Amino acid sequence: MRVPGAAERNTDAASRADADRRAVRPGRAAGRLASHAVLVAFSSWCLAAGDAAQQDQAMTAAAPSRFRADELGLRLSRQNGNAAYAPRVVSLPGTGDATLEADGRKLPFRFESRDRVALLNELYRIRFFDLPTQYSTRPSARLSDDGSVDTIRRQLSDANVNSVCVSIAAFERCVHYGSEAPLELDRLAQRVFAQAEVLAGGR
Amino acid sequence: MQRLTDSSPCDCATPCWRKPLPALVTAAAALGASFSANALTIVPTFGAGVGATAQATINDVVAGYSALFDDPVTVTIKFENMTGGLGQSSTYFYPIDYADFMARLRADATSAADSTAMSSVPTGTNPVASATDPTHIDVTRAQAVAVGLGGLFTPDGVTDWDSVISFNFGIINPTRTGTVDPAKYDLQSIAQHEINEVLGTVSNVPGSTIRPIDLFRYSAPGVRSFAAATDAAYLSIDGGVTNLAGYNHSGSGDTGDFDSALVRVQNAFGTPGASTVQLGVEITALDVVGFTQAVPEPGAYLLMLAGLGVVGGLARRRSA
Repeated sequence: MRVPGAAERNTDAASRADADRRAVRPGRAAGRLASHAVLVAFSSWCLAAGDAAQQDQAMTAAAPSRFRADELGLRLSRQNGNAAYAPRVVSLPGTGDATLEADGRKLPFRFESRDRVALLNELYRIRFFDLPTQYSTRPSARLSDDGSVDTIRRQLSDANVNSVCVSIAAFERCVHYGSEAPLELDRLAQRVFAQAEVLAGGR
Repeated sequence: MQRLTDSSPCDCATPCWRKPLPALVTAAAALGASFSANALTIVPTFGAGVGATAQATINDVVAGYSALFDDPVTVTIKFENMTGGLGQSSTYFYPIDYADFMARLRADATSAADSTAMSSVPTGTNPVASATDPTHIDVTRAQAVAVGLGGLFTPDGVTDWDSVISFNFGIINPTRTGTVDPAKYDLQSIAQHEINEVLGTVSNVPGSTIRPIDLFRYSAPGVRSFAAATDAAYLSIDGGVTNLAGYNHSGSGDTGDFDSALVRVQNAFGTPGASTVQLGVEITALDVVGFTQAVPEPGAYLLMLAGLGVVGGLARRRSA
């Protein structure tokens, strides 16, 4: 349900791999089922989740701080999990020749360097590069009768998946999200789509 | 562990069950209930926006699972309306010790499909080389209980559920009875798709911890795939030799769903107007990841044969 670029796939996969390798120490509670093994597994996973988040944040450093304006590109897509609606995609490449893909059509418009840099600043403002890369899985804490708290994983399947990708030269970072959205990013994405419709429609 | 719906993985483009009327499904469920006292039980809760017709369809679908599976598992699901997308589910997954779960899965293997599947998974270590946490496997509570694991957090089914399934009823035909809008999607198919995932067919690709279904995900014979969304993988229970269904790698839609080569319940993308009821491959998938297909007891067979005899007798008398 996502369209990560090659660079993002590599860096994110490596990052997750690292985080998990460091954090998850087998809750090998010698087998015989039951709550002990399960609780140990929960604890291991919670640690893993925490470290994965830290690792994700560490990726911020990978974004180049100096580059040519034409090396900055952005791509936003809004796609439903099922083909109820066609995906809508806004591409804002470094050349300035932007496009809006919607309803089977590809509409061109101009989106200049200063607009892309302004958008990049808005993404910096909402800490885009610190956000998790995907929102389909999240921890969920539950209070037990004995007063303890268990944290397990909640998976969202077939959800709408929206993507915001920023590429700077060879670096690329994407954030994919569905109905459980990072609100500021989703608002920003909606605004870009609305703006693209005006610009593409006003030609 | 016999198939109740068909005798082989059903990949035909034509639906294997043609429009099973709700009454038929209910009858099948009743028959299934007579097969075993251990039927898998799904307890539905309906949120606002789920109309009576939709509730009836969902109840029929839910009853169908009790007829199909013999596991003493109770799963709570809340069904609700949403305004975007088509259908989605939100489900708890539990990280379990890989070796422990696999030992139980092997011990639970009783069908021919189970035997084939288990012989394709080496004992001991996790065979998915790219899993970054090979010592754990993510399972649903239903899967865990089905293979005999206990001690898991259990939602109360009142304020919290094993899963929440949401449908965009604005673009869905809630029933197959009467006029069906060809531009809309079939609730029965979507409900089956989501329930299959809630029970345990959803993949964790691309992720760090595998789920049981990921043991049967291949990119070539002998080559397991747990890679990115663009990997052309397929479901196979015999080590990658037989391709039961291609996984979606279109770049959008879930990578654990099937591609659009055929119209199937578990496809990533719905087909408007289609009453898709092709559960062969989906049932095989559920079978090999921990669930036990119901085996009719001799008494049930006799009852079924008696019923068929009555129907045949009536038809003969009518034609005479």
